[in-house]
Amino acid sequence: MPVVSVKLWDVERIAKTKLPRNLEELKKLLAVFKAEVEALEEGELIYEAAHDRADTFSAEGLGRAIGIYLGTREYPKFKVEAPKRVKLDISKAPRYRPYAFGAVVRGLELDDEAIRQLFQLQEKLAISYGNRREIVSVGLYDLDVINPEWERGIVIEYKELKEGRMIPLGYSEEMTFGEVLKNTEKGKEYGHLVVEGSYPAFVYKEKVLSLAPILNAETYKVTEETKNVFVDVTGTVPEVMLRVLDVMVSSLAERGRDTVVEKVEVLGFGETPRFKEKAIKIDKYKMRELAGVDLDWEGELRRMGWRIEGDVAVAPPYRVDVFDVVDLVEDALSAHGYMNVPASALPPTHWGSRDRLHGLVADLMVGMGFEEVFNFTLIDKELVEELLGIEPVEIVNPRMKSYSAVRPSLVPSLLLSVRENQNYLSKIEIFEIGPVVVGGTTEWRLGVAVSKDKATLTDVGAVLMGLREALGLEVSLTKEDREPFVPGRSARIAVNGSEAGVMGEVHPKHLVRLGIRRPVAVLELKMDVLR
Amino acid sequence: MLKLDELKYSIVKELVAGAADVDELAARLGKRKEELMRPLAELERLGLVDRVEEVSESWTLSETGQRYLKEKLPEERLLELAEGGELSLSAVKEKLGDEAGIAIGVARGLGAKIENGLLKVDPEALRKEAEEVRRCLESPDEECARKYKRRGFFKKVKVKRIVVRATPELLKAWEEGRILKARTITALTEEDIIKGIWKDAEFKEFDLSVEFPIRYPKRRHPLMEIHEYVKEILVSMGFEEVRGNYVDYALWNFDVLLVPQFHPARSETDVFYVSGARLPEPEEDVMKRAEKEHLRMWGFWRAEIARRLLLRTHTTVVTARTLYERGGGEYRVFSLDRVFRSETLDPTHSMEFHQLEGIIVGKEVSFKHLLGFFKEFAKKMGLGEVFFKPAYFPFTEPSVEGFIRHPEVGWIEVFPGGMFRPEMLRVVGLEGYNVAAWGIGIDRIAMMLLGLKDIRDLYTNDLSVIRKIRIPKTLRR
Repeated sequence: MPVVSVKLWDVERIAKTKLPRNLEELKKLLAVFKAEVEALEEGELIYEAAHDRADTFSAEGLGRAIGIYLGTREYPKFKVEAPKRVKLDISKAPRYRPYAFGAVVRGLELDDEAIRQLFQLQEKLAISYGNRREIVSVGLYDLDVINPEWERGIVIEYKELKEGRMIPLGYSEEMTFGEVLKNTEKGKEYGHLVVEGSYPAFVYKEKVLSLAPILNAETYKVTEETKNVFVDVTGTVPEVMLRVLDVMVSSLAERGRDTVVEKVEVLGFGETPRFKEKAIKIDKYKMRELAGVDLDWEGELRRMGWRIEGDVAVAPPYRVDVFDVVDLVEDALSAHGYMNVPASALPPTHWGSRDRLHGLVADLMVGMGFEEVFNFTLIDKELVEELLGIEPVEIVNPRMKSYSAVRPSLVPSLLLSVRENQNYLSKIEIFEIGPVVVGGTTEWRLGVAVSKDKATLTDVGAVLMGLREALGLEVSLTKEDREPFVPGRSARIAVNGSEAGVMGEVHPKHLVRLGIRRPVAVLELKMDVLR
Repeated sequence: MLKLDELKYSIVKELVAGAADVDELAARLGKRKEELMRPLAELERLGLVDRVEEVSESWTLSETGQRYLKEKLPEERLLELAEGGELSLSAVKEKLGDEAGIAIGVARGLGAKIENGLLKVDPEALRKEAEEVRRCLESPDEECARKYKRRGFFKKVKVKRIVVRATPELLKAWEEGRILKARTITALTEEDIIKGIWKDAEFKEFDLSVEFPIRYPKRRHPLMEIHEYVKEILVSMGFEEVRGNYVDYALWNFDVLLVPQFHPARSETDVFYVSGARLPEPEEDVMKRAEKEHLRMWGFWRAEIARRLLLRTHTTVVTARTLYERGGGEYRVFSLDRVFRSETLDPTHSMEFHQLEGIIVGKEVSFKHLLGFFKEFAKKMGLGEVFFKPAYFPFTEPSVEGFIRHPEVGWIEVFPGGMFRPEMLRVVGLEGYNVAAWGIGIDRIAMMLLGLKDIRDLYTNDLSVIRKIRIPKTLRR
C-alpha cells in the first residue's frame, strides 16, 4: 500500500477547515478513509493509503474527502468541456504498449507543494495501479509550451520511434533515447519496459515530448508558472488507464479556483478522460441485511462524498473503487464508525468438528518418549533428489536454495532435525506430523527418527508395533531396498492391506554428506492409514 | 549389638577417647553445634552419654579491651614518640590528646621521671609492658586479665559449657565391640526391601541445596499446543475444520478473490510459482465466471494467467473451494494451515507460515456478526479488547481490520476480515447467502503467547529451544 506524505496546511486549504494537530485524532480521522497514519512531524503527515482509495494518494483527494466528511465542502463539481485544443493519435503506437489517453486541465494555480503532490500522485498511481508503470504510467506537460500559439485542434502523436532525442527531465543535456535508458536514474529503473529501437514516445511537430513510460522532456515540465496542462496515460490495460486518468485529472482540478477539465479526442478510440459519475441504487433492505444494523444511509453516504438522488447514490469520477451496493455499505459504516456498530456473535447453528487424528497420534508418540519437532515443507531441491532419488515439486522462482522445493517426504526434514540437535543430545528421539506434497497433492504424514549410537531398525520398528497395538492395525512388512536406506535394512509397510509407508536405517553415505555423526533410523507413515 | 548411624557413631568414637566440651566436639567432627544436639540427646536417652552443664566465671574483653585490640595502646603511641627516651610533656599532650594522661601514668609506673617539662622514660621497660598488654588482649589468661582489669580491658562473665562424656556402659560396650556403625541408605534397593535391611539402615538425609538435574518433558511442539487450543475454541464456536492443497491454480488463489491479473501481489517477487506438479484441470465454470467478473471490474483477464500453478499465499483458497463445493446453507468452516510467500527467512518474516481463516455462511449472517465473532474469539483466547477499523481487501466489502493490544508494542493488527463481495460469491457459484470471512494472524498471536520475538524460534526443530519455551498461561486455564 502506498505511503503518502502531505503537508497539513496544504490539506487544510483543500479541505477548507483546520485539522487536529493531535496524532491520535488524525489517526481516527484518516481511518475513515482506510488510511493509516504513520507519523506527524513538523506539519508533515505520513500515512499509508488504502490501495482502493486511489484518490487519497495525495493531498488533493485526502483534503477533499476530509472536507466533505467534516461538512466544510460540498459534493465536488467539475467543469468539463468537450475536446477543443488537443487530439491524440495513437495509431502508430508500439504493439507492446498500444494505448495512450489524454486530458487537458486549464486554469491551474500551482505552487511548490502543489507540484510536489501532483508528482507524488503520478508516481503512486503508476506503482500501485500501474504495477510499477508496466500497465499504466502517467505524464504531465505544460500545454502552453507545447502549443504557445493557442492553436486549436493540434494533434499530439503517441508513436513508436526507432530513436529520438530530448533533454530528459531534470537534466541539462540532450540525450538519445538509448542514452536516457543508460544514463538516467529512471531509465535504469524502468528501461526494461521498453524495447530498444521501438521506443514509445509522445511527439508534437517532430519534437519529442516524452519517452513513455520513462521520462518527459525537460522543456515541457510543469512549473509554478504553468496554467494549463496536458496529461497522458500510456499502458496496456485501458480500463485501469482510464481510472488512473480520472483520479489524476480530478486531483489536478483541485489546484485552482476555476479549473476546467477539457477532454481530448483520442483518434479512433473516443474522448478521454471518461470522467463519469457512478450511480448505485440504495437498496436499504440489502444494506441492512449485510451490515446487520440500520443507519442513516443517505446521511452517512453524503459524508463520504456521495450525492443522493432519490434512491440512487452517485459517486464522483475519482471513486474508482465502487461497483456494487456493498460498497455503499462499507462507506456508510466507515462514516458511522466501526466501533459504533453493535457487534454480536451469532450463536452456532451446528456442532463444530475437527481433525482429531493428529493430536491423538502425537499423544501416542509423546507417550513413547518422542519429542515433536516442526519443519518447513519447503526444502532444498538437491537434498531431496540426493536423498530420495525423486524430483519434488519445484519452485520456479525460489529466494533461497534451502527452500527451493516442496518436500515429498518427511525423511529429509527429520534428518535436518537430527543434525540440528546432534550436538545438544547424544540420543535423539523425535517425530513430526506434517504435510508433504506428492505430485501436487498435499498429504499428511507421521515421521519418526531415532538417532543414537547403535540405532537400528528395531528402534523405529518398535514404534510401529506400539502404534499397531494402540490403534489395532494390521501391519505387514516387505523387504525393499530404496534410498536413503542401507540395502537389506529397510522395509515397505502396509497397514490394513494398503500402502502405508517405509522404515529403514539411513545409509552412512548420506549421514556423512549431511554431517550427521550418529546412526539414524526412520519411520514414515501416511496419517490416513492410521484412521 | 547396637547399630548407630554415621554421626552418632563418630560422636561415640570421640567420647570413648575422652570427655569433651560440645563446641570442641563439633569442631573436631566438622559439624555445627546445633547439628549435634539431637544425636547427643538420643545417645543420652540410650544411656551411652552423660551431659554435664558447667557454669564458670571467666574474663572477657570489655568494650575498651575490644577497642584496643584494633587500635594502638596509649603506651604504644607514647613509645613511638619516645624513641630517644626524652620528650616534652606538651608534645605528649598534643600528640596523644585524651590518652596522654594514661600514657604518662603507665610510664611513671615504670619509673619515668618528669623534669623541667620533659618526660624521661625507659623505652625498653615501656616496650616490654606494651607487649605484655597486647599479648593479654589477644589471648587473655586468668593472671593477666586480673592484672589489667583495673585498666578496664576486661570484665567478668558467667560461661555455660556443656561437657559430654561416655558413660561406663558405653565404655564397656565399646570395649566389647558391641557398638557398630549402621548402614546408610542413599538409594533404597529391591534387596534392602526384601531382606529387611531397611529396618537397621539409616536413610541419608537428602541435601536439598544441591541443584536437581532437569528432566525435560517429552512434549508436543509449543506451536502445535497453541494450534490445538485454537482449534478447540473454534469447534466450540460451531466451526468445522477443512484442509486443502498447498499447490493450486492462480485461479483459486487470486482470480476467484478478484485480485486483478496485473496486480503486483501476483508477481514473482511475492508469490512462489511451481513446476512439476500435476493437478486436475481448473473448473470450467469457475474460469468462465472469473473471466466475466474480472472483465467487468478490471477490463482485463487471461486464461493462461489463471492457469499458473503456485503455492497458495493464503488459506482463503480453502474456504473459497469449500463454498464452491458445498454451496449455500448455514455452516461455518475454518482452516489452520500453512501458506507461502516469497520472503527471505529473518526474525520477522518467513516464506512459510500459518494462517487461520474461516467463514460463516448463512442467510442472516451480517457484518455485525463478523465483529462479534472477533470479539468472542479474542475473549476466549484471553487477548483482551479488540479495536476495529475499515480496511481494504479486494474480495471483501465491507472489510475490517481488528487490532489487539500487545503488552510491549501496543495495538497490533491480527484480525483481517470482511463480507465476501457479491462478485466473488458469483464466481464460486453462490447467490442468496451472505458470507462473513475472517482471518487471524495466528503466528503473531502464538509468538505473543509464547513470549517469542523471532519467528524462527516459533518454527524450530531445535530441541534446546523447544524445551525452554513455556506453556502459556492461557492454555492452562
